[in-house]
Amino acid sequence: MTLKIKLFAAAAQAINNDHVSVTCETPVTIQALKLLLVEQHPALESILPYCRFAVNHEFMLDEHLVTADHELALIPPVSGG
Amino acid sequence: MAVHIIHLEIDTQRMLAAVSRISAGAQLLFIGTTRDITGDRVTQWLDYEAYKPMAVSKLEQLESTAYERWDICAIEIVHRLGKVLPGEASVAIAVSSPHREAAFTCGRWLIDTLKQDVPIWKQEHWLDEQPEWIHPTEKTLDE
Repeated sequence: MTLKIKLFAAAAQAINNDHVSVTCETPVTIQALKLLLVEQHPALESILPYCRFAVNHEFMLDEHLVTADHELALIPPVSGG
Repeated sequence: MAVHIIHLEIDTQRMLAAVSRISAGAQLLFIGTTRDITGDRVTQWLDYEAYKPMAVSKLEQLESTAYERWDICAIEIVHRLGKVLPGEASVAIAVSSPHREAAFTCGRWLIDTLKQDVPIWKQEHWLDEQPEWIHPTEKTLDE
């Protein structure tokens, strides 16, 4: 299964794209997905520890399970305002 | 819901008019503007980007929570995206309430929480340096 993850700001800049694909078995926990993300896209390694994951527009914790039906996004520390 | 993410200049007079109520004894307007100097670095402009559907959803959640927590008449929140020049507004929050205490407390909470949880990012376009995405890794609420 391929999961698509939206990227923003410095995360998007790190790999010069507004999303990445991660190949994995689903459902997968966010924690496991983070490890696969770094394995498959090493350029994201430095920013990842600071990022949160959003699933269908809500922040979710590491133990949350996701599938290809969810809208996934990597959320670097925000700086609006 | 009265939250808006726009690319145009923020019309703060419209926002004040929108929260005007005869039941309100206070109207509060907070405007966040682009600062020209940070430390010894000069900002030419800021460029704002959002994860728009989530940003709208989070702003609506903030608005709902504010109505539950304080005695508020009306709330308007507007965030601008794209290029914002020094002195221009990037965000504005208008709150009206029967008594001023609720408007002050609620307005302060809205901008502080927006800066922590709403997926919007600014890119600094410094003078004589490469553009830089701003990602606060320790929460600084006074920027």
